[in-house]
Amino acid sequence: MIPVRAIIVIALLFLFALARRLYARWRADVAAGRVGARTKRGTGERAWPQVPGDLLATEGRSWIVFTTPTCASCDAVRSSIAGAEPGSHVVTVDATREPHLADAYGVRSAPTTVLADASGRVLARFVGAAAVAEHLRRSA
Amino acid sequence: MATSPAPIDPRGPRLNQAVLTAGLLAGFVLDQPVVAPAFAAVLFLGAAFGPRFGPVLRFYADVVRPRLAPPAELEDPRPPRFAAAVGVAFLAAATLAFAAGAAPLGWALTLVVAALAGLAAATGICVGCEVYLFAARRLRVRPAA
Repeated sequence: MIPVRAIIVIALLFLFALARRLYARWRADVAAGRVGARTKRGTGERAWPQVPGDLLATEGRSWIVFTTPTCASCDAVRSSIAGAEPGSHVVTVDATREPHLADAYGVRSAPTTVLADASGRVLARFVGAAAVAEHLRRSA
Repeated sequence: MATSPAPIDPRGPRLNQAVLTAGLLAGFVLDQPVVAPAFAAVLFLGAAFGPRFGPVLRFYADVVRPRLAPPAELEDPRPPRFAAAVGVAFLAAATLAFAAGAAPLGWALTLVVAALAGLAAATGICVGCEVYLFAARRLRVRPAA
């Protein structure tokens, strides 16, 4: 007879493994923009809100980088954008100081970068520095 | 307003959580209530005095980390410290329960800590950390007194 305690522990370990798998899947969905309160039903697309005017360039595209005070790779994102598109409009938003803005764009980790056109419409959203670098590399 | 402390490698607290989970669950299976006060003490050192004083955190910093690639990201040490402090409180309560002869209550409290620590070790979701961050955001957003 297996003691009850061992069964409880085994159940807990199983739950940890399950949580790990579900969380990894959820993060992949978030990074791909498939999850969120404003998802268009059926299409899996995410309708991001219009970027506020005070963050936008007067003309052309804008890069909005959400950062945190302890984010190690946030500077790398700025420099990679500046390197690939010199003169482009890049603003950083401290997600800890602007939690509502960060929530609106589903910012769960830093850096999360939003690319918008001159009217504030979101063209793309990138989670992590590597995603931005990859995009810049591909569109070079 | 205090400036934020130096950021830390987030894998240190993860190891702390993993060791805590393993230790508490082993104690539960082997019916050794001593794990509650023992790990309360381990957590307390790190929570009260900082990452250099927590035994597991110190072990990570001195022995494990030099053998690993640098972390992709650093984190604020305060949320995990707060979470550890909450763990200390629960384990201290569990210890009192064991001392008072209420073993089922003691194990229930111990298992709560083990479950949350295990979730954090397995997924990186630290519930105590989120509580701290939620409270910190609310307090910061309020206008200065």
